[in-house]
Amino acid sequence: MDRSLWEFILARWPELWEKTLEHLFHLTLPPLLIAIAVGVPLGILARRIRRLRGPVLSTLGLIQTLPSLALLALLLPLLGIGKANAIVALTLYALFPIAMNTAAGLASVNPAVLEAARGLGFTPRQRLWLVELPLALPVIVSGIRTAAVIDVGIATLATFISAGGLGDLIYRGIRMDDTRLTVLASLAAMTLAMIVFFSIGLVERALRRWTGPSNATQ
Amino acid sequence: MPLNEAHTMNLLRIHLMLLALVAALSMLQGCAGDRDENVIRVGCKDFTEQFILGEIVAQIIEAQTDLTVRREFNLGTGLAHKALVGGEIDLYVEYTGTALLAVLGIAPRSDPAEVYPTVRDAYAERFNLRWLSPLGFNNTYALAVRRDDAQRHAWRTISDLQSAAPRLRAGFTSEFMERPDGYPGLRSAYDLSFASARDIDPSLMYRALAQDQLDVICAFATDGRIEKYDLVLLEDDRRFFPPYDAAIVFRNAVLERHPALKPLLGRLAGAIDDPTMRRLNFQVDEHKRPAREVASEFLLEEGIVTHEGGSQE
Repeated sequence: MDRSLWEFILARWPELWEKTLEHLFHLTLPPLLIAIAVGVPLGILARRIRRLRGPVLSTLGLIQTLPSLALLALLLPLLGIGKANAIVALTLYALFPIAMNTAAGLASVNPAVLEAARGLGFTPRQRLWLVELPLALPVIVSGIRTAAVIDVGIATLATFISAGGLGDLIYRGIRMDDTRLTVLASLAAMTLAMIVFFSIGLVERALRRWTGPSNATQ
Repeated sequence: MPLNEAHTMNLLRIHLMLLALVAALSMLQGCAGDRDENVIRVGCKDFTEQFILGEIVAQIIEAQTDLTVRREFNLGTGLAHKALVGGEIDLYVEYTGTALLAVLGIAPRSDPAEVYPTVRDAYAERFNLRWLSPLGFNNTYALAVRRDDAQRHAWRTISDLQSAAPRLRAGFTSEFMERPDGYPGLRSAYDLSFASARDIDPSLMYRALAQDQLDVICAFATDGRIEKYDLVLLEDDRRFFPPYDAAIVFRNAVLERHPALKPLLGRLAGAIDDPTMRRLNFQVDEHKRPAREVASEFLLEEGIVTHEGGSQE
Protein backbone atom coordinates (compact mmCIF):
# COMPACT_ATOMS: atom_id res chain seq x y z
CA MET A 1 0.00 0.00 0.00
CA ASP A 2 1.03 3.59 -0.62
CA ARG A 3 3.03 4.65 2.39
CA SER A 4 1.45 8.08 2.76
CA LEU A 5 -2.02 6.52 2.67
CA TRP A 6 -0.98 4.12 5.39
CA GLU A 7 0.34 6.98 7.49
CA PHE A 8 -2.90 8.84 6.93
CA ILE A 9 -4.95 5.92 8.21
CA LEU A 10 -2.68 5.48 11.23
CA ALA A 11 -2.87 9.18 12.08
CA ARG A 12 -6.66 9.09 11.80
CA TRP A 13 -7.16 5.81 13.60
CA PRO A 14 -7.88 7.01 17.19
CA GLU A 15 -10.46 9.51 16.01
CA LEU A 16 -11.99 7.04 13.55
CA TRP A 17 -12.34 4.49 16.32
CA GLU A 18 -13.87 7.01 18.72
CA LYS A 19 -16.40 8.18 16.13
CA THR A 20 -17.25 4.59 15.16
CA LEU A 21 -18.00 3.68 18.78
CA GLU A 22 -20.09 6.83 19.12
CA HIS A 23 -21.92 5.91 15.91
CA LEU A 24 -22.71 2.44 17.25
CA PHE A 25 -23.43 3.03 20.93
CA HIS A 26 -25.01 6.49 20.80
CA LEU A 27 -26.65 6.71 17.39
CA THR A 28 -27.46 3.15 16.26
CA LEU A 29 -28.18 0.86 19.21
CA PRO A 30 -30.39 3.14 21.36
CA PRO A 31 -32.84 3.97 18.55
CA LEU A 32 -32.80 0.36 17.36
CA LEU A 33 -33.60 -1.03 20.81
CA ILE A 34 -36.36 1.53 21.37
CA ALA A 35 -37.77 0.74 17.92
CA ILE A 36 -37.81 -3.00 18.73
CA ALA A 37 -39.53 -2.34 22.05
CA VAL A 38 -42.19 -0.21 20.36
CA GLY A 39 -42.30 -1.70 16.86
CA VAL A 40 -42.85 -5.37 17.73
CA PRO A 41 -45.90 -4.65 19.96
CA LEU A 42 -47.23 -2.30 17.25
CA GLY A 43 -46.82 -5.09 14.70
CA ILE A 44 -48.66 -7.55 16.99
CA LEU A 45 -51.41 -4.97 17.50
CA ALA A 46 -51.67 -4.40 13.77
CA ARG A 47 -52.02 -8.14 13.24
CA ARG A 48 -54.51 -8.67 16.06
CA ILE A 49 -56.81 -5.72 15.59
CA ARG A 50 -57.89 -5.46 12.00
CA ARG A 51 -59.10 -1.87 12.36
CA LEU A 52 -55.72 -0.68 13.53
CA ARG A 53 -53.69 -2.39 10.80
CA GLY A 54 -54.19 0.23 8.08
CA PRO A 55 -53.70 3.37 10.22
CA VAL A 56 -50.66 2.05 12.14
CA LEU A 57 -48.72 0.71 9.17
CA SER A 58 -49.52 3.58 6.84
CA THR A 59 -48.55 6.17 9.47
CA LEU A 60 -45.21 4.46 10.02
CA GLY A 61 -44.78 4.13 6.25
CA LEU A 62 -45.50 7.83 5.82
CA ILE A 63 -42.81 8.72 8.39
CA GLN A 64 -40.42 6.53 6.42
CA THR A 65 -40.93 8.69 3.33
CA LEU A 66 -39.95 11.91 5.15
CA PRO A 67 -36.52 13.02 3.92
CA SER A 68 -34.17 12.23 6.80
CA LEU A 69 -32.21 15.47 6.60
CA ALA A 70 -35.47 17.41 6.79
CA LEU A 71 -36.74 15.40 9.77
CA LEU A 72 -33.57 16.21 11.71
CA ALA A 73 -33.99 19.88 10.87
CA LEU A 74 -37.71 19.85 11.75
CA LEU A 75 -36.96 18.39 15.18
CA LEU A 76 -34.44 21.18 15.90
CA PRO A 77 -36.94 23.67 17.36
CA LEU A 78 -38.35 20.92 19.61
CA LEU A 79 -35.24 19.09 20.74
CA GLY A 80 -32.33 21.38 19.89
CA ILE A 81 -28.96 20.16 18.71
CA GLY A 82 -27.44 16.88 19.82
CA LYS A 83 -28.09 13.23 20.38
CA ALA A 84 -31.68 13.27 21.70
CA ASN A 85 -32.88 14.73 18.43
CA ALA A 86 -30.96 12.16 16.39
CA ILE A 87 -32.20 9.26 18.52
CA VAL A 88 -35.84 10.29 18.08
CA ALA A 89 -35.43 10.61 14.31
CA LEU A 90 -33.57 7.32 13.95
CA THR A 91 -36.15 5.51 16.11
CA LEU A 92 -38.90 6.75 13.82
CA TYR A 93 -37.06 5.43 10.77
CA ALA A 94 -36.49 2.03 12.36
CA LEU A 95 -40.14 1.54 13.39
CA PHE A 96 -41.64 0.81 9.98
CA PRO A 97 -39.54 -2.20 8.89
CA ILE A 98 -39.83 -3.75 12.35
CA ALA A 99 -43.60 -3.30 12.80
CA MET A 100 -44.27 -4.24 9.17
CA ASN A 101 -42.25 -7.44 9.37
CA THR A 102 -43.74 -8.39 12.73
CA ALA A 103 -47.25 -8.15 11.28
CA ALA A 104 -46.21 -10.01 8.12
CA GLY A 105 -44.38 -12.71 10.10
CA LEU A 106 -47.41 -13.35 12.29
CA ALA A 107 -49.66 -13.50 9.23
CA SER A 108 -47.44 -16.16 7.70
CA VAL A 109 -47.99 -18.64 10.56
CA ASN A 110 -49.92 -21.66 9.30
CA PRO A 111 -53.54 -21.52 10.63
CA ALA A 112 -53.45 -25.32 11.12
CA VAL A 113 -50.64 -24.92 13.64
CA LEU A 114 -52.68 -22.32 15.55
CA GLU A 115 -55.69 -24.64 15.45
CA ALA A 116 -53.58 -27.44 16.87
CA ALA A 117 -52.30 -25.18 19.65
CA ARG A 118 -55.86 -24.24 20.48
CA GLY A 119 -56.78 -27.95 20.53
CA LEU A 120 -53.96 -28.55 22.99
CA GLY A 121 -55.56 -26.00 25.30
CA PHE A 122 -53.06 -23.12 24.89
CA THR A 123 -54.31 -19.76 26.13
CA PRO A 124 -54.05 -16.87 23.62
CA ARG A 125 -51.04 -15.56 25.51
CA GLN A 126 -49.32 -18.95 25.40
CA ARG A 127 -50.09 -19.24 21.69
CA LEU A 128 -48.47 -15.85 21.01
CA TRP A 129 -45.30 -16.52 23.00
CA LEU A 130 -44.83 -20.22 22.39
CA VAL A 131 -46.15 -20.67 18.86
CA GLU A 132 -46.69 -17.50 16.83
CA LEU A 133 -43.66 -15.37 17.80
CA PRO A 134 -41.13 -18.22 17.53
CA LEU A 135 -42.49 -19.13 14.10
CA ALA A 136 -42.53 -15.52 12.95
CA LEU A 137 -39.05 -14.84 14.37
CA PRO A 138 -37.06 -15.12 11.10
CA VAL A 139 -39.30 -12.54 9.40
CA ILE A 140 -39.25 -10.22 12.43
CA VAL A 141 -35.46 -10.45 12.63
CA SER A 142 -35.04 -9.61 8.97
CA GLY A 143 -37.10 -6.46 9.66
CA ILE A 144 -34.78 -5.58 12.53
CA ARG A 145 -31.78 -6.14 10.29
CA THR A 146 -33.21 -3.83 7.66
CA ALA A 147 -33.89 -1.20 10.32
CA ALA A 148 -30.34 -1.50 11.69
CA VAL A 149 -28.73 -1.01 8.29
CA ILE A 150 -31.01 1.97 7.57
CA ASP A 151 -30.08 3.53 10.94
CA VAL A 152 -26.32 3.12 10.49
CA GLY A 153 -26.67 4.93 7.17
CA ILE A 154 -29.02 7.72 8.25
CA ALA A 155 -26.99 8.30 11.44
CA THR A 156 -24.23 9.77 9.25
CA LEU A 157 -26.55 12.76 8.75
CA ALA A 158 -26.67 13.38 12.51
CA THR A 159 -23.54 15.51 12.13
CA PHE A 160 -25.73 18.31 10.75
CA ILE A 161 -27.45 18.68 14.12
CA SER A 162 -24.20 18.28 16.00
CA ALA A 163 -24.92 14.75 17.22
CA GLY A 164 -21.52 13.31 16.30
CA GLY A 165 -20.75 9.92 14.80
CA LEU A 166 -18.97 9.02 11.58
CA GLY A 167 -20.88 11.72 9.72
CA ASP A 168 -18.56 14.25 11.41
CA LEU A 169 -15.55 12.82 9.58
CA ILE A 170 -17.43 12.34 6.29
CA TYR A 171 -18.56 15.97 6.35
CA ARG A 172 -15.12 17.29 7.41
CA GLY A 173 -13.71 15.46 4.39
CA ILE A 174 -16.27 17.17 2.17
CA ARG A 175 -15.62 20.60 3.69
CA MET A 176 -11.86 20.30 3.39
CA ASP A 177 -11.99 18.65 -0.05
CA ASP A 178 -10.17 15.72 1.56
CA THR A 179 -11.56 12.70 -0.26
CA ARG A 180 -9.45 10.25 1.71
CA LEU A 181 -11.12 11.25 4.95
CA THR A 182 -14.60 10.94 3.48
CA VAL A 183 -13.80 7.54 1.97
CA LEU A 184 -12.18 6.26 5.17
CA ALA A 185 -15.15 7.25 7.34
CA SER A 186 -17.61 5.86 4.79
CA LEU A 187 -15.79 2.53 4.78
CA ALA A 188 -16.02 2.48 8.56
CA ALA A 189 -19.80 3.10 8.35
CA MET A 190 -20.17 0.28 5.81
CA THR A 191 -18.15 -2.10 7.95
CA LEU A 192 -20.21 -1.15 10.99
CA ALA A 193 -23.46 -1.81 9.08
CA MET A 194 -22.19 -5.27 8.07
CA ILE A 195 -21.06 -6.13 11.59
CA VAL A 196 -24.43 -5.08 13.02
CA PHE A 197 -26.23 -7.03 10.27
CA PHE A 198 -24.39 -10.27 10.98
CA SER A 199 -24.47 -9.85 14.77
CA ILE A 200 -28.25 -9.69 14.66
CA GLY A 201 -28.16 -13.03 12.81
CA LEU A 202 -26.09 -14.50 15.64
CA VAL A 203 -28.54 -13.19 18.24
CA GLU A 204 -31.36 -14.80 16.25
CA ARG A 205 -29.59 -18.17 16.26
CA ALA A 206 -29.08 -17.98 20.00
CA LEU A 207 -32.75 -17.00 20.50
CA ARG A 208 -33.90 -19.97 18.46
CA ARG A 209 -31.83 -22.38 20.43
CA TRP A 210 -33.28 -20.84 23.57
CA THR A 211 -36.88 -21.28 22.36
CA GLY A 212 -35.93 -24.88 21.52
CA PRO A 213 -39.29 -26.66 21.87
CA SER A 214 -40.89 -24.58 19.14
CA ASN A 215 -38.42 -25.98 16.66
CA ALA A 216 -40.31 -29.24 16.94
CA THR A 217 -43.40 -27.60 15.49
CA GLN A 218 -41.59 -26.36 12.40
CA MET B 1 -14.84 -16.57 -39.48
CA PRO B 2 -18.21 -15.47 -38.14
CA LEU B 3 -16.84 -15.09 -34.65
CA ASN B 4 -14.04 -12.78 -35.66
CA GLU B 5 -16.33 -10.75 -37.81
CA ALA B 6 -18.75 -10.28 -34.96
CA HIS B 7 -15.82 -9.34 -32.76
CA THR B 8 -14.66 -6.70 -35.24
CA MET B 9 -18.18 -5.33 -35.55
CA ASN B 10 -18.40 -5.09 -31.80
CA LEU B 11 -15.11 -3.27 -31.58
CA LEU B 12 -16.22 -0.88 -34.28
CA ARG B 13 -19.44 -0.25 -32.45
CA ILE B 14 -17.60 0.44 -29.21
CA HIS B 15 -15.27 2.83 -31.00
CA LEU B 16 -18.17 4.69 -32.54
CA MET B 17 -19.90 4.94 -29.19
CA LEU B 18 -16.74 6.25 -27.56
CA LEU B 19 -16.36 8.81 -30.32
CA ALA B 20 -19.91 9.96 -29.84
CA LEU B 21 -19.31 10.22 -26.11
CA VAL B 22 -16.15 12.28 -26.59
CA ALA B 23 -17.97 14.55 -29.02
CA ALA B 24 -20.83 15.03 -26.59
CA LEU B 25 -18.45 15.73 -23.72
CA SER B 26 -16.44 18.27 -25.68
CA MET B 27 -19.66 20.05 -26.60
CA LEU B 28 -20.58 20.18 -22.93
CA GLN B 29 -17.10 21.44 -22.16
CA GLY B 30 -17.61 24.13 -24.79
CA CYS B 31 -20.65 25.35 -22.95
CA ALA B 32 -19.13 25.22 -19.48
CA GLY B 33 -15.62 26.55 -19.95
CA ASP B 34 -16.77 29.12 -22.42
CA ARG B 35 -14.53 30.80 -24.93
CA ASP B 36 -16.40 34.05 -24.57
CA GLU B 37 -13.87 36.57 -23.36
CA ASN B 38 -16.57 38.97 -22.27
CA VAL B 39 -17.88 36.77 -19.50
CA ILE B 40 -16.46 37.16 -15.99
CA ARG B 41 -17.15 34.26 -13.71
CA VAL B 42 -17.39 35.40 -10.11
CA GLY B 43 -16.98 32.69 -7.50
CA CYS B 44 -17.69 32.62 -3.80
CA LYS B 45 -17.51 30.18 -0.93
CA ASP B 46 -20.48 28.79 0.88
CA PHE B 47 -21.27 31.17 3.71
CA THR B 48 -23.19 34.42 4.08
CA GLU B 49 -20.28 36.85 4.00
CA GLN B 50 -19.00 35.25 0.80
CA PHE B 51 -22.38 35.53 -0.92
CA ILE B 52 -22.54 39.23 -0.05
CA LEU B 53 -18.98 39.87 -1.24
CA GLY B 54 -19.59 37.83 -4.40
CA GLU B 55 -22.66 39.96 -5.10
CA ILE B 56 -20.81 43.21 -4.42
CA VAL B 57 -18.08 42.29 -6.90
CA ALA B 58 -20.55 40.94 -9.47
CA GLN B 59 -22.78 44.03 -9.28
CA ILE B 60 -19.89 46.48 -9.67
CA ILE B 61 -18.75 44.71 -12.83
CA GLU B 62 -22.30 44.55 -14.14
CA ALA B 63 -23.00 48.20 -13.42
CA GLN B 64 -19.77 49.70 -14.69
CA THR B 65 -18.65 47.56 -17.63
CA ASP B 66 -20.17 45.88 -20.65
CA LEU B 67 -18.97 42.50 -19.44
CA THR B 68 -21.40 39.73 -18.63
CA VAL B 69 -21.11 38.29 -15.12
CA ARG B 70 -21.78 34.69 -14.30
CA ARG B 71 -22.15 33.75 -10.64
CA GLU B 72 -20.47 30.48 -9.67
CA PHE B 73 -21.39 30.69 -6.00
CA ASN B 74 -21.41 28.27 -3.09
CA LEU B 75 -17.98 26.58 -3.21
CA GLY B 76 -15.98 25.25 -0.24
CA THR B 77 -12.50 26.67 0.47
CA GLY B 78 -10.72 23.84 -1.33
CA LEU B 79 -13.15 23.90 -4.24
CA ALA B 80 -13.02 27.66 -4.76
CA HIS B 81 -9.25 27.64 -4.98
CA LYS B 82 -9.24 24.63 -7.31
CA ALA B 83 -11.83 26.26 -9.55
CA LEU B 84 -9.76 29.46 -9.74
CA VAL B 85 -6.52 27.68 -10.55
CA GLY B 86 -8.34 25.45 -13.06
CA GLY B 87 -9.82 28.52 -14.79
CA GLU B 88 -13.43 27.60 -14.01
CA ILE B 89 -13.89 30.90 -12.19
CA ASP B 90 -12.04 34.19 -12.67
CA LEU B 91 -12.03 35.62 -9.16
CA TYR B 92 -13.30 35.19 -5.62
CA VAL B 93 -12.69 36.76 -2.23
CA GLU B 94 -10.12 34.89 -0.12
CA TYR B 95 -8.72 35.53 3.37
CA THR B 96 -4.97 35.92 3.88
CA GLY B 97 -4.75 33.51 6.81
CA THR B 98 -6.74 30.83 5.01
CA ALA B 99 -4.56 31.19 1.93
CA LEU B 100 -1.40 30.99 4.02
CA LEU B 101 -2.29 27.86 5.98
CA ALA B 102 -5.02 25.98 4.15
CA VAL B 103 -3.91 26.66 0.56
CA LEU B 104 -0.17 27.28 0.66
CA GLY B 105 0.54 25.14 3.71
CA ILE B 106 3.04 27.69 5.04
CA ALA B 107 3.61 27.81 8.80
CA PRO B 108 1.98 30.76 10.58
CA ARG B 109 3.95 34.02 10.61
CA SER B 110 4.58 35.67 13.92
CA ASP B 111 4.32 39.11 12.33
CA PRO B 112 0.81 39.75 11.01
CA ALA B 113 2.10 42.42 8.64
CA GLU B 114 4.08 39.79 6.83
CA VAL B 115 1.12 37.61 5.91
CA TYR B 116 -0.36 39.65 3.05
CA PRO B 117 2.93 40.12 1.12
CA THR B 118 3.86 36.48 1.70
CA VAL B 119 0.56 35.24 0.33
CA ARG B 120 0.51 37.73 -2.55
CA ASP B 121 4.00 36.77 -3.74
CA ALA B 122 3.46 33.04 -3.34
CA TYR B 123 0.18 33.15 -5.29
CA ALA B 124 1.80 35.13 -8.11
CA GLU B 125 4.67 32.71 -8.33
CA ARG B 126 2.91 29.41 -7.86
CA PHE B 127 -0.54 29.93 -9.38
CA ASN B 128 -0.21 33.06 -11.56
CA LEU B 129 -2.96 34.64 -9.44
CA ARG B 130 -3.15 38.26 -8.31
CA TRP B 131 -4.19 39.48 -4.88
CA LEU B 132 -5.84 42.92 -5.03
CA SER B 133 -5.58 45.24 -2.02
CA PRO B 134 -7.39 44.06 1.16
CA LEU B 135 -11.04 45.09 1.47
CA GLY B 136 -10.51 46.42 4.99
CA PHE B 137 -11.85 43.82 7.43
CA ASN B 138 -10.28 40.89 9.23
CA ASN B 139 -12.63 37.92 9.56
CA THR B 140 -10.53 36.08 12.08
CA TYR B 141 -11.55 33.05 14.04
CA ALA B 142 -12.09 33.90 17.69
CA LEU B 143 -13.18 31.84 20.65
CA ALA B 144 -16.50 33.17 21.91
CA VAL B 145 -18.18 32.66 25.27
CA ARG B 146 -21.37 33.95 26.93
CA ARG B 147 -20.96 37.37 28.54
CA ASP B 148 -22.18 36.24 31.97
CA ASP B 149 -19.63 33.39 31.98
CA ALA B 150 -16.86 35.76 30.95
CA GLN B 151 -17.75 38.19 33.74
CA ARG B 152 -18.24 35.55 36.43
CA HIS B 153 -14.91 33.83 35.72
CA ALA B 154 -13.02 36.94 34.60
CA TRP B 155 -12.16 35.43 31.23
CA ARG B 156 -10.56 37.97 28.94
CA THR B 157 -8.07 35.95 26.93
CA ILE B 158 -7.92 32.42 25.55
CA SER B 159 -5.22 31.62 28.13
CA ASP B 160 -7.78 32.39 30.86
CA LEU B 161 -9.79 29.38 29.69
CA GLN B 162 -7.04 26.89 30.34
CA SER B 163 -7.93 25.85 33.87
CA ALA B 164 -11.69 25.77 33.19
CA ALA B 165 -11.41 23.93 29.88
CA PRO B 166 -11.89 20.39 31.27
CA ARG B 167 -15.38 21.43 32.38
CA LEU B 168 -16.35 23.23 29.16
CA ARG B 169 -18.30 21.96 26.16
CA ALA B 170 -16.83 23.28 22.92
CA GLY B 171 -18.52 23.40 19.52
CA PHE B 172 -16.41 23.93 16.40
CA THR B 173 -17.19 23.90 12.68
CA SER B 174 -16.03 20.97 10.56
CA GLU B 175 -13.36 23.13 8.94
CA PHE B 176 -12.08 24.38 12.28
CA MET B 177 -11.77 20.77 13.45
CA GLU B 178 -9.44 20.01 10.55
CA ARG B 179 -7.48 23.15 9.74
CA PRO B 180 -3.96 23.69 11.07
CA ASP B 181 -5.13 27.18 12.12
CA GLY B 182 -8.10 25.55 13.83
CA TYR B 183 -8.58 23.22 16.78
CA PRO B 184 -5.52 20.96 16.27
CA GLY B 185 -3.16 23.95 16.39
CA LEU B 186 -5.11 25.90 18.98
CA ARG B 187 -5.15 22.95 21.36
CA SER B 188 -1.39 22.69 21.41
CA ALA B 189 -0.72 26.45 21.32
CA TYR B 190 -2.80 27.01 24.46
CA ASP B 191 -2.61 23.52 25.96
CA LEU B 192 -6.39 23.30 26.05
CA SER B 193 -8.37 20.13 26.63
CA PHE B 194 -12.12 20.64 26.64
CA ALA B 195 -14.61 18.27 28.28
CA SER B 196 -16.02 17.72 24.80
CA ALA B 197 -15.51 19.21 21.37
CA ARG B 198 -18.26 18.53 18.90
CA ASP B 199 -18.73 19.35 15.26
CA ILE B 200 -21.43 21.95 14.73
CA ASP B 201 -22.85 23.80 11.77
CA PRO B 202 -21.76 27.48 11.76
CA SER B 203 -25.35 28.65 11.42
CA LEU B 204 -26.37 26.79 14.60
CA MET B 205 -23.40 27.47 16.88
CA TYR B 206 -24.14 31.03 18.03
CA ARG B 207 -27.60 30.18 19.26
CA ALA B 208 -26.42 26.88 20.78
CA LEU B 209 -23.89 28.87 22.82
CA ALA B 210 -26.46 31.48 23.84
CA GLN B 211 -28.89 28.71 24.88
CA ASP B 212 -26.29 27.06 27.10
CA GLN B 213 -25.97 23.93 24.97
CA LEU B 214 -22.29 24.78 24.49
CA ASP B 215 -19.79 26.90 26.45
CA VAL B 216 -17.23 27.88 23.81
CA ILE B 217 -17.44 28.22 20.03
CA CYS B 218 -15.10 29.26 17.23
CA ALA B 219 -16.90 32.41 16.14
CA PHE B 220 -16.17 34.40 13.01
CA ALA B 221 -15.20 37.91 14.06
CA THR B 222 -17.42 39.56 11.42
CA ASP B 223 -20.56 37.65 12.31
CA GLY B 224 -23.41 39.92 13.40
CA ARG B 225 -24.78 37.28 15.74
CA ILE B 226 -21.94 37.92 18.23
CA GLU B 227 -23.64 41.15 19.22
CA LYS B 228 -27.15 39.79 18.87
CA TYR B 229 -26.54 37.00 21.39
CA ASP B 230 -24.33 39.20 23.59
CA LEU B 231 -21.25 37.01 23.21
CA VAL B 232 -17.70 37.94 24.16
CA LEU B 233 -14.67 37.25 21.96
CA LEU B 234 -11.60 36.16 23.90
CA GLU B 235 -8.33 37.83 23.07
CA ASP B 236 -5.84 35.64 21.20
CA ASP B 237 -3.04 36.53 23.66
CA ARG B 238 -0.54 34.08 22.20
CA ARG B 239 -1.21 35.35 18.68
CA PHE B 240 -2.11 31.92 17.38
CA PHE B 241 -4.53 33.05 14.68
CA PRO B 242 -3.00 34.78 11.66
CA PRO B 243 -4.84 37.80 10.23
CA TYR B 244 -7.66 36.87 7.85
CA ASP B 245 -7.76 40.02 5.76
CA ALA B 246 -10.23 39.62 2.92
CA ALA B 247 -9.14 40.50 -0.61
CA ILE B 248 -10.16 39.70 -4.17
CA VAL B 249 -7.99 37.08 -5.86
CA PHE B 250 -7.95 37.33 -9.64
CA ARG B 251 -6.59 35.26 -12.50
CA ASN B 252 -3.78 37.28 -14.08
CA ALA B 253 -4.85 36.28 -17.59
CA VAL B 254 -8.27 37.87 -17.08
CA LEU B 255 -6.84 41.06 -15.56
CA GLU B 256 -4.53 41.45 -18.57
CA ARG B 257 -7.43 40.99 -20.97
CA HIS B 258 -9.62 43.49 -19.08
CA PRO B 259 -7.22 45.99 -17.47
CA ALA B 260 -10.09 48.30 -16.48
CA LEU B 261 -11.22 45.79 -13.86
CA LYS B 262 -8.26 46.49 -11.62
CA PRO B 263 -8.94 50.17 -10.86
CA LEU B 264 -12.66 49.43 -10.81
CA LEU B 265 -12.45 46.75 -8.14
CA GLY B 266 -9.62 48.69 -6.50
CA ARG B 267 -12.33 51.07 -5.26
CA LEU B 268 -13.31 48.39 -2.78
CA ALA B 269 -9.86 48.52 -1.15
CA GLY B 270 -10.34 49.46 2.49
CA ALA B 271 -14.03 50.17 1.84
CA ILE B 272 -15.44 47.50 4.17
CA ASP B 273 -14.28 47.59 7.79
CA ASP B 274 -15.16 45.07 10.52
CA PRO B 275 -18.33 46.80 11.76
CA THR B 276 -19.59 47.30 8.19
CA MET B 277 -19.09 43.64 7.33
CA ARG B 278 -20.76 42.60 10.58
CA ARG B 279 -23.74 44.81 9.76
CA LEU B 280 -24.07 43.39 6.23
CA ASN B 281 -23.83 39.80 7.50
CA PHE B 282 -26.46 40.52 10.12
CA GLN B 283 -28.89 41.80 7.50
CA VAL B 284 -28.74 38.43 5.74
CA ASP B 285 -28.35 36.03 8.69
CA GLU B 286 -30.92 37.53 11.01
CA HIS B 287 -33.21 39.63 8.86
CA LYS B 288 -33.19 36.94 6.15
CA ARG B 289 -32.71 39.51 3.41
CA PRO B 290 -31.26 38.34 0.09
CA ALA B 291 -27.49 38.88 -0.25
CA ARG B 292 -28.13 40.51 -3.64
CA GLU B 293 -30.27 43.22 -2.07
CA VAL B 294 -27.89 43.87 0.85
CA ALA B 295 -24.97 44.13 -1.59
CA SER B 296 -26.67 46.61 -3.91
CA GLU B 297 -27.76 48.73 -0.94
CA PHE B 298 -24.16 48.86 0.25
CA LEU B 299 -22.88 49.88 -3.20
CA LEU B 300 -25.47 52.68 -3.38
CA GLU B 301 -24.65 53.94 0.11
CA GLU B 302 -20.94 53.99 -0.63
CA GLY B 303 -21.57 55.76 -3.90
CA ILE B 304 -19.68 53.08 -5.81
CA VAL B 305 -22.77 52.48 -7.93
CA THR B 306 -25.04 55.50 -8.33
CA HIS B 307 -28.40 53.89 -8.99
CA GLU B 308 -29.72 50.45 -9.60
CA GLY B 309 -28.32 49.06 -12.83
CA GLY B 310 -26.87 52.46 -13.71
CA SER B 311 -23.21 53.15 -14.21
CA GLN B 312 -21.07 55.94 -12.94
CA GLU B 313 -18.23 57.19 -15.08
